[in-house]
Amino acid sequence: MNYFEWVDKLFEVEKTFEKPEALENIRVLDLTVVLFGPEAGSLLAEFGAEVIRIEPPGEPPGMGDFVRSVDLWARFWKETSQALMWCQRNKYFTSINLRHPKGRDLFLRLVKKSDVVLENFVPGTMDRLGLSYRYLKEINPKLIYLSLSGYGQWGERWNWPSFDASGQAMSGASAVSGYEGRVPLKLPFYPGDLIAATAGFMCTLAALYYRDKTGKGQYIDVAQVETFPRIMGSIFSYVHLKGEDRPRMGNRDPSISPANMYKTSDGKLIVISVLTAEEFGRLCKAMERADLTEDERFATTSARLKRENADEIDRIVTEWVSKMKLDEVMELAKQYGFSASPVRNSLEIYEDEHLRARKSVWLFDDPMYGSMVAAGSPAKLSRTPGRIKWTGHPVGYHNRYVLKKLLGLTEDEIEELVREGVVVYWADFLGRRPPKDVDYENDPMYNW
Amino acid sequence: MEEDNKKKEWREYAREITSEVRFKPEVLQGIRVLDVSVANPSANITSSLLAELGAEVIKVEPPEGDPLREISPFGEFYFDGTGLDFLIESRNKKFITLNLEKEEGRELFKRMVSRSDVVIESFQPGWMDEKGIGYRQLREIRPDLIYLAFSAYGHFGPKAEELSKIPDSNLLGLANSGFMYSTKELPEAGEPYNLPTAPGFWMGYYLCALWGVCGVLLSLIHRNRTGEGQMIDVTSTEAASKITQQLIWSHAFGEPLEIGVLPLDPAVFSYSFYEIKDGYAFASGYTDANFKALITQIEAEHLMEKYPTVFDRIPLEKQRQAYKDVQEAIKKFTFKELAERMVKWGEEGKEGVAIYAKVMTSKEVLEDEFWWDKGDFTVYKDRRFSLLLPTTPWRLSETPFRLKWLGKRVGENNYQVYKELLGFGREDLEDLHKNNII
Repeated sequence: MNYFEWVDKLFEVEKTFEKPEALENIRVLDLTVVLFGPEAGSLLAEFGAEVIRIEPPGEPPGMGDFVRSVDLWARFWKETSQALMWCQRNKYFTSINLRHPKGRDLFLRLVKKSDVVLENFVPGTMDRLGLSYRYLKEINPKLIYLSLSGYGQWGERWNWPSFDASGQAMSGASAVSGYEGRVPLKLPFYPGDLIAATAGFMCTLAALYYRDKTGKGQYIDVAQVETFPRIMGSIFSYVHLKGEDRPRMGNRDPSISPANMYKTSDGKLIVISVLTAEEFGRLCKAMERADLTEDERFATTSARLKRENADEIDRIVTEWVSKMKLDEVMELAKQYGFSASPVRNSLEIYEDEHLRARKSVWLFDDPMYGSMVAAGSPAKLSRTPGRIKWTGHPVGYHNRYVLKKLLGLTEDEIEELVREGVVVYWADFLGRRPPKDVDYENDPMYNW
Repeated sequence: MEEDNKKKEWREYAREITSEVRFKPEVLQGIRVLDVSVANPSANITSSLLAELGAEVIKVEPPEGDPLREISPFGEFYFDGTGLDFLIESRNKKFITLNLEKEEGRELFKRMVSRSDVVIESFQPGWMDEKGIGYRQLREIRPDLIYLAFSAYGHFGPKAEELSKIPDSNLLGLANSGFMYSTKELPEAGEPYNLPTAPGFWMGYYLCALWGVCGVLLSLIHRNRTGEGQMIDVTSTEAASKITQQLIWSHAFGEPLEIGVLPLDPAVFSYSFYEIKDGYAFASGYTDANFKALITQIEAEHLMEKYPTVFDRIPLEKQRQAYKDVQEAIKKFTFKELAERMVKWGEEGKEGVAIYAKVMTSKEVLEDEFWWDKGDFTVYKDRRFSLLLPTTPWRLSETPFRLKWLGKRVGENNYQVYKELLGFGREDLEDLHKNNII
C-alpha cells in the first residue's frame, strides 16, 4: 500500500471517537482564570481528563472570571467573549466560593477524589486559604498540583503582577522582535500565557507518568516570564559570548541564511528559510543559480551566515522572488524541496482543507454555541488522539452534575448552598448567561 | 517536621521543594530514545527535553554529522565545529553515527530499535517507509514502539504527499499558521513595519518541540497502561496555530481577523509598549481606575477628561490618539522613575493599579540578578569548553529537569553505545567505519 494511504488509515481521523483517550480516568480540578491557567486545563481535557472548572464566583456573584468581559474589538459574538470559547474546552463548569467554609469543604472533598489541581492565583494565595500543595497532599498524597504564575512561586519577584506583555518585556523576548529604531513588538495572542500553559501541561503529563509508575504525586511550579528564555534558543549564549546585544532583524534569522519574508511579483508575501547546504543547493537549482553553490561566500552554511554574505544572498533571493508569482515559487518549493510558505491570514487557515482533514481546524457542534471551531491538538496521536467536545459554558452550568455525581449531594442541599452563596450560578449579564437560543431549562446537563 | 514546614512562608517552602535538583529520581529513567532527526531544530530540542527528564537519548547522526551543527548566529561561534544552536540542545545525549542510506546501516538501526522505546525522525514523509524503517516496519520489530515524526505538513491528510518535500522551518510554521499575519504595526507605519513579522526567536521550532515532548509523554502514559505503542505526527504550523485566537473569528464573521495594530491592542488600552527616556517599557492600565492611576503617575491627569471610560479608549481611532497622548507624557520618565511611582502609589493605598515593565535587552536580562537567583541560566563547563545557556525553568518537585552534560562530538559515544546495545568491539567498529556505515 502507498505510504500515505497507509498513514491515513493508521490515523483514521473519522474514527477519533472510537479510539481510547490517553488521560481517561484522570480527574482535574481547575481553579484557574483568564487564559494562562485555563489553557493548561483545556489541554488535559482534550486528551481525555475529566476537568472540573471551579470558577471564582466573581463580583457581584455570578460574574465569574474577568476574562468573560474582554473580547477582540469588543465584538462579543453570541454575547460571549471569544477568549472563553478559545481557552476553555471540554470542561465541566462549576462555581464555588472557596472562601466560604462550606465551599472550602466541598473543594477538599473533591480533592480527595481527584488526581490533579491547577491554579494560577498570586503565589501564596492558596497557602493562605490552607489549600496549597503542603496542605492538600496530606489529604491526597498522590496529588499532582500545578501552580502557574508570572514570576514563579519564589524568588525576588514572587508577588509581582504579571501580564503576558510584561513577561515578553522582562524576559527579553520583545527586545529581539521587530526592527531597530522601532518600538519592539508585543507579540500577539499572549504567547507568554499560551506557551507556558503548554509547558505546564507537559510537566503535568510527566508527573502523571511518574505517578502511574510509582504512586507518587508532586508539585509543579511553572512561570510565564521564566518560560521565555528557554524557548529563545541561542540568543543568550550568543550575547554572552559576544558581549553585546543582538539587533532586532525583522524577519531575518541570524542562524538561518537565507531566511526572510519576500514579496512576489503578484504582491503576495512568502517566507523562505534555508537551513543547510543541501537545502541551499535545492533553492539554487530552483532559482537556476547553481553557480551560487560554488561561490565561497555561500557554499558552506557557516559562510552563508556571515553578516555580509547573508545580506547578499538575501538580496539575491529578494530580487528573484520579486520576479516570480507566489504560486510559481510554491510550485518550485514542492518540486525541489526548500522551506517556503505563503503568509496566511486566519480565513485562509480556517478554510484550509488539509488542516481540516487533519482536525487541526476542528469544526464541531457545540452544546451552547452551535456550529463552532477550535484548533485541534498539534500532537497527532494515531492511537489516542486528542479531541474537541465542547467549549465555554455559563458560570456554574454543571454545578448539579458535578456535585451530585462526585459528592452525592441532593437537590435540597444544592439549593441550600446556592442560597448561601457557596455554589454560584451565572449573573444575568453579557458573557455569563447562556446564549439566548439555548433552552437550558430543558438541558439534562444543567438539570442533572 | 510537617508542622515546622507550615510555619514557613509559602515561598520558602516552595523554594525548598523545587530548587534542589540533584539526587532526585528521573521520570524517564529506563526509556531509550533514538533520535535520527537531521537538520530539524524541533526534533533536536524535543530529544534534549526528554533527556533532561532522564531518558537515555541516543542521537544518531549521519557519518558526517547533523548539518544542524553547522549553524550558529552570524556564523560566529563554534566549539569543535559545532554551532550554538545545536550545542545548547545537545543536553545529556549520547552521540553516535550511523548511515541510514545504506542497507547495513538500516539493519543495525532495526536491531537498536528492538531495544528502544521511542524513535524520533524528521525525514521527508515517506522516506523512512521507503527504506523499510518507517513506523509500518518498525512496529513489527517493536510493537509498543512510540514513533515521533516531525515534518512541515504532516504525514497524513490530503496534501501530505504533494507537500512532502518541503522541509519544516520556524518561519514556515509562523507564516503558515497565521501567527505572523497578526504581528505587525498599524498601516501608517509604512513598510516593512506594517507587514507581518515573526518573533525574533525560534518560537515556531520551540513550540513544535514542546508538542513533540507532550506527544511522547501522552504515548508513554497510554503504553504504560495498555502496552500499546503509537505514531505521533507533529508540525510547527499546527503548534503555532494552537496558540492563536483566530479561528472562531473567521468562523463567526467569515472574514480574516485583523489585529495587527501594534503598538496598539485589539482588546484593551493601555496595554502597550512605549518609548521612554531610557529605552522602552510596557505600561498597562485599562480599567477606568487603572487608567487613571497610569496617567496620574505620568503627570497627565488631564487625559481622563478626554478618555473617561473604556469605550473612549478602545475603538481604533480613539486608541490611536490616546496612545499618542500617553506616549507624549511617558517619554519624560526613566523606567526607575515609573517603577518608583508605581510602588509609592500602592504604598499610599491609592485606587487603581498601573503596571510597568522594562523591555529588557538580552544583556540586561543577563545582568538581572533575578534570573541567576532562580537558576534560569547556568554556565556549563567541562574539560573542553564553557558556555552560558538557559536551564529548563519548569520545576517539578519530585522529578525535575536537569542538565548533566552538553556537546559531545560526532560519533563520540560510538564505542560505548554499540558495545552496550549490540555488543560490538573496536574491530567491528573499524569495519563499519571502513564501509562508511558509521
